[in-house]
Amino acid sequence: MAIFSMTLTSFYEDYAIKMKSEAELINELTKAQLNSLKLQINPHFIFNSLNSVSALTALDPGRAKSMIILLADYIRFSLTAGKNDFVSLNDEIENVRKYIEIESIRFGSRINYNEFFEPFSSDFKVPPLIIQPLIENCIKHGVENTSETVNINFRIKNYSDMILISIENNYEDFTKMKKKDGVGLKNVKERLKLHYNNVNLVKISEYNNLFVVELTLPALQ
Amino acid sequence: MKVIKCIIADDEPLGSGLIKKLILMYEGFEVIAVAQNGFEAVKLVNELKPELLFLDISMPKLNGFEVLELLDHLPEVVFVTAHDNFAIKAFEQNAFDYLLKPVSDERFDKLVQKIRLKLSEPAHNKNSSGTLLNKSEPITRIAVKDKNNILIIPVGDLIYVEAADDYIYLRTKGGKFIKKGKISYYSENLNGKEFIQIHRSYIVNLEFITGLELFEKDKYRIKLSTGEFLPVSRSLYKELKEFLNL
Repeated sequence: MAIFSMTLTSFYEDYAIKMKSEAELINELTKAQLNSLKLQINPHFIFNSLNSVSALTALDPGRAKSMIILLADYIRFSLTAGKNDFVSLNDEIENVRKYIEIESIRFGSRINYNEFFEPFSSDFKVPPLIIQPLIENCIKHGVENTSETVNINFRIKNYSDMILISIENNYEDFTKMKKKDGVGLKNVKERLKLHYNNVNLVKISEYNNLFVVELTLPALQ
Repeated sequence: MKVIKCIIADDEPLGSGLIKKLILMYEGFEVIAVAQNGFEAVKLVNELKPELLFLDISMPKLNGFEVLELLDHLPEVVFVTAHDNFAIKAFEQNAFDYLLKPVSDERFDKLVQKIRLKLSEPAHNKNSSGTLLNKSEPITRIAVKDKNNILIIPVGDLIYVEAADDYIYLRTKGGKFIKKGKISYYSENLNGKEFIQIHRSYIVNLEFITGLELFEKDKYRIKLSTGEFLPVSRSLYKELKEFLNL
């Protein structure tokens, strides 16, 4: 009897451990998935930026220096913020501005970037590098495909329990925006799904040569 | 020394600015124009007839390879790009040289020496047409000139290609366009799953074939969904039948 009871106890202990480890495993799996999805810096971006720096050292050394500092800041944020699950929306916006500044050195007046923000709490948190990929798409599919000026509009609407972020750009008719199946956008979708356990946080619409991606980001409890 | 006239085509101001600065450090070079996209490049090169063209590959509207296809005047072409995966294709296009960005001063100096040597030769033989073999991926679109406009035809819209000496006709739903080139280029570069050569002068898009019929003794022709008929040569008839699973 003593033996039996011992076996039973150890059975329950094993079972409890097993249950716990399964929950942990799922948690770890989610973390691993998130890590693998966390946006690495696009190699094209690095090369293009290095080209800009190289050209600037010959054409405008002063601007070459500011470009290097911008790049360093941008890379630092991408590497450090990427380690956190969440960053403040303000930091994320700051990083988007750096990114735009770097790309504006490359494309000049072909980028017309505008912000339309409703006031929001400085505590509001978002997953790191969740907005930048959308801006990168505007550059890749909008700006790179036309010699005309592309308007990139970044809007924030505050609904207290959630924030609506919208990124839109115009594009030239015959280039067609092919972002729907793009890696960047797919990655953003996957990450939001894993972070908030909700699959309906990304909305894509296209009309009148305007490409719009909307993210609904819930306030954290 | 005769001045070598250059045009630089690059959509990024820093890209063209750097090449301009580098080339002007050497005596005997003049930059006569800077094009900011593919269309401008075609127009400027055909009009101003430079001896040397620095051509960025990734540009809006028309990429560097497409620009090359549309040139009536073909200068020595130096491709400039940040992407080394274009290198093979660039050489297949008979590029004079290929610069990978960022360009070092030493590398640029080598190019200048090479170009001086080449352009000082009395007569340089080169292919008059830019369209040369490209054994990489099948082409997906074809650029043609229609009066003063440039049209891009997605190959899916192409019904057939017809040979006419040094020219080819491209028949699409929208009309028939003429372009310099050989039919062999298209038989090698159109996707073999979508197009088939049925005659020494015709390559046809399978999508548009609606019938195959005998119209004289031993002579076959295909019917297209447009109502047109195209001859099938005896030697290619068997191949076509197999292709259509007959």
